[in-house]
Amino acid sequence: MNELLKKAIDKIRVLPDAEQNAMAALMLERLADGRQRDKTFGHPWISPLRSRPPEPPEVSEGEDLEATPENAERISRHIKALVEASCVPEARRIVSEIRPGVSEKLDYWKKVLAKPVARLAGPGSGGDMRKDMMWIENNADDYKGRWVALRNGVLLGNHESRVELRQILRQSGKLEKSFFVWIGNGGL
Amino acid sequence: MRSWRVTVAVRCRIERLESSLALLDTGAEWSVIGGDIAAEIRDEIGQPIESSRMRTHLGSIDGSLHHVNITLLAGEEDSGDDLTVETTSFVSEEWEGPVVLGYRGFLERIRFALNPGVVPGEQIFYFGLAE
Repeated sequence: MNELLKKAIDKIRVLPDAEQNAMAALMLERLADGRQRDKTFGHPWISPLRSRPPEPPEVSEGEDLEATPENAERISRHIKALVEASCVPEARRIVSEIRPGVSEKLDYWKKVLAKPVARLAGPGSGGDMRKDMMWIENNADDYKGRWVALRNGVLLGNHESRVELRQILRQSGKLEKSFFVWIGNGGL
Repeated sequence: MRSWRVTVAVRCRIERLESSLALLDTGAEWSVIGGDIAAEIRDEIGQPIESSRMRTHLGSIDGSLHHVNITLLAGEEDSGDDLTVETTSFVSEEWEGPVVLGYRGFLERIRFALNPGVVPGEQIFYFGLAE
């Protein structure tokens, strides 16, 4: 066994059981078919347990990341790899140093990685949410597997398809200030 | 569509669609929008420039990051103002779960707090501008 592998195993041994299991699952997934799998986003339900932030993709020594139309595609792939490895702060740092107009893809990354903008949007328009939630609590069992549309605790319509339900309510003039809820087969 | 459990549900509006519930998930890297809602807002958010693949507990899905306006709704009667965030969200018509409000591109730019309530029906989600 080589020294690097021994060090890794020693570090894993001192982790709590849950993190040991998570590390083992990650390694087995990557090695399952003998090939390195593509890196993907962390999924939105459970973040993988790790004792330190993920390592960003390596950049070759001397690799030029100054953005030009000639290397724009390579830089775009690098940014995409960083984003997919959840290294968003590093990706943001890189795009902040790129001027607009180098390429369509780099302009896209500049746009989607920019910090979001928040603004107030006028007086509250949510209506009486308690009445809607009470309706759901009392009636959800009768509408499993369907979208329901409510307004202030009153049922406006229901359908398997949200698109169809919108169309029905639009045609009947009931769409304004409606609240759409999907009632799953297990309830809300 | 699949069934899912929404542990912390927040009422919001995606672009100009009618309000619906979203899962508040501080552990999610990005907000996620899928299914019918993704199809309905496609004209407003434009075609994807770059596609990506996300691993979720419902399986891997293909999609892309887009700017999407998501508005948190305050109740009427002195509950405050609605708040719109021009978010970056992962949009995928393959995603069969609920709308997810994640950290990057959304929660990181607002102040929020949860009051789980002592009795059912008393839960409150507080939100406001961060700056």
